[in-house]
Amino acid sequence: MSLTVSVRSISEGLVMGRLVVDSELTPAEDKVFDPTIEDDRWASAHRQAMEDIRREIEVAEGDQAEILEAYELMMLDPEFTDIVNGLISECHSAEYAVYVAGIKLADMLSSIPDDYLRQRAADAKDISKRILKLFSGAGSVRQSRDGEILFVDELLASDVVDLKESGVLAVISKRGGTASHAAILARTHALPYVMARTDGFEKYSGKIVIVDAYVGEVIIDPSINEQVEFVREAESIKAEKEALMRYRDMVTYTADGKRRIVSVNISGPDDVQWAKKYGAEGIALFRTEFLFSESKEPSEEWQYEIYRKVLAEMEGIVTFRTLDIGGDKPSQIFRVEKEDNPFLGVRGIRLMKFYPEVLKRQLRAIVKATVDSEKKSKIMFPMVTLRSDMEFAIHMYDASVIDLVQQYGDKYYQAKDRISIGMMVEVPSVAMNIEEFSDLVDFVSIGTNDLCQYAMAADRTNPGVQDYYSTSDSGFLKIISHCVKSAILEGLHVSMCGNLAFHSELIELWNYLGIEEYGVVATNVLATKKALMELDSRIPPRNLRFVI
Amino acid sequence: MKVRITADHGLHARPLAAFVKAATVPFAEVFLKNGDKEASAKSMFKMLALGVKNNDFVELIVKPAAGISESDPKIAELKKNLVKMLEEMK
Repeated sequence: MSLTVSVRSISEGLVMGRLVVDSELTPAEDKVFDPTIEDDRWASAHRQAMEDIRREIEVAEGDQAEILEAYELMMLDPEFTDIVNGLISECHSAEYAVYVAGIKLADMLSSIPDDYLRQRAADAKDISKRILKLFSGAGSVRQSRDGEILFVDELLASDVVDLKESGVLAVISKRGGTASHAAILARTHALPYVMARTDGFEKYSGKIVIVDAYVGEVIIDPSINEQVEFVREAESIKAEKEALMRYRDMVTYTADGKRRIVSVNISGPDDVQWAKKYGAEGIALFRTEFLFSESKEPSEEWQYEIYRKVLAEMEGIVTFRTLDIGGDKPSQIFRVEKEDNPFLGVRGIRLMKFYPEVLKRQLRAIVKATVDSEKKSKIMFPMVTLRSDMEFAIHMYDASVIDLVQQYGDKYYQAKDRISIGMMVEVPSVAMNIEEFSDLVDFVSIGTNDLCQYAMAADRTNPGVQDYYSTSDSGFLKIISHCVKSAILEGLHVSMCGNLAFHSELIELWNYLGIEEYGVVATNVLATKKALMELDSRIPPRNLRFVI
Repeated sequence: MKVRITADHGLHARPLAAFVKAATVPFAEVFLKNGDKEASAKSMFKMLALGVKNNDFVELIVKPAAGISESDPKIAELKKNLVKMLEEMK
């Protein structure tokens, strides 16, 4: 009988193959008579490992090249070589010395409180394993592993490319994390990878398994019916990807004729090409803070050129979000005192109140670019919490338009007709009190990522509270529902930008509530268009009961 | 000299690799200090173990080698480059 195990998906995909348990090479503690022989063996293996890694660096690109360069330095690190030399001088074998050095350094890094840095512990074991392979000669032979699904204690970054090229279909690991170097490379090389917090897999070695890294499930010893279902599902995923392309040039209308806009979120002009490739109908969120990542504020003229370029290249309406700095997005331009809770601190519009001239220069650049391009655009302000935040924002906007009129002429009064003003809804108290702001804005944009972390009191970057950061929580959905309904009653347009805008189970609810614009990542534009075009807004969605 | 680290994930292996290369010079020894923990810039592992997170301040210490003066322009240039690298780490 088959068994289904829930796993954490790290790199997506759906595959079926034979489970192989990878036993780790663990040299036993031993004593040798002549340490000089071990010294020579270690020196030769170390030299060979260095040559190998330098060769790999020459042909690697991007993330992989950077990871290998870090490995090269780790192999030369005196912390590593001193442990090996010390153990060899105490008459241990070279293998044992290298193995222990890897474990000791991994233990040292495992004690770092920060989760992301702690995941570097795997790198220490990885460099030791690279050298261990050379002692046994295993490193030089690449065997075919077609059709294997590998179960390992921990997936190491060095293994990802080899595994993919040798035909391994997917990896299940006992330990690891979404931010490890191995995880980054698995996603880059499209190797499905899941993490199972269980020891039980060893006993299923040799069995057929299905790894569904889309839903986070492993089916061990699937029945004939489940295997048939797998084949059907895998074929339909392939066909679906191809079929979605027909939505590229379509204008999004729901089945009952409601106009919907599927837009993308971008961080700079380079992202516009992806928006166009997948047929986005606008830009729901231009994260302008990425233009401010250098140590100096970019000039108004430079900003103007960038905004103008994006407006010229994008056919639909572009929504500029003014600088959203602070929280998890620090900047070298602004002096912010170290805060205990930066997410609850001086960020977004709160920071701009301390730097009104920076905001004004940005607004002047956006307004001028829009009017000069003879286009329409939207401007929205982040982290609005109080009515006075929005009053300040509008005051700065009006002052920017008046500046431009005084400097360049009446033409810039056109801003009134060309630009809509809105605000991000990220703070729960704002979501519950839209009426307070409705005379100040034309639209609201729900930022689901921040709204969720504030509503659920769970830092979205902290893996320890991932279960609390629940986007399907009915309390959280009620907040969104209340916000959308009251905004529409107040005559405001509603958009949503954040991971939830594209959510297969919730999009029905968003459409029913009346959200007009959906800001998603470029690769999800087609699927979002398709989902909306198949919906009839008159039919209450299945999950409506959660928000009533 | 204290520098605020703005890299999203703090001082992790990939940005540190370039820093180790730049800090390994014959005329000085470079250290980073986070709170009461100090690490030689020759060791990736020691620096990773400092556990420097986003928004932490690290102290950059450059000790000139024997026979090299603190006021040597090479020292000033090295400090300037290393501070810039730390500030611009992603």
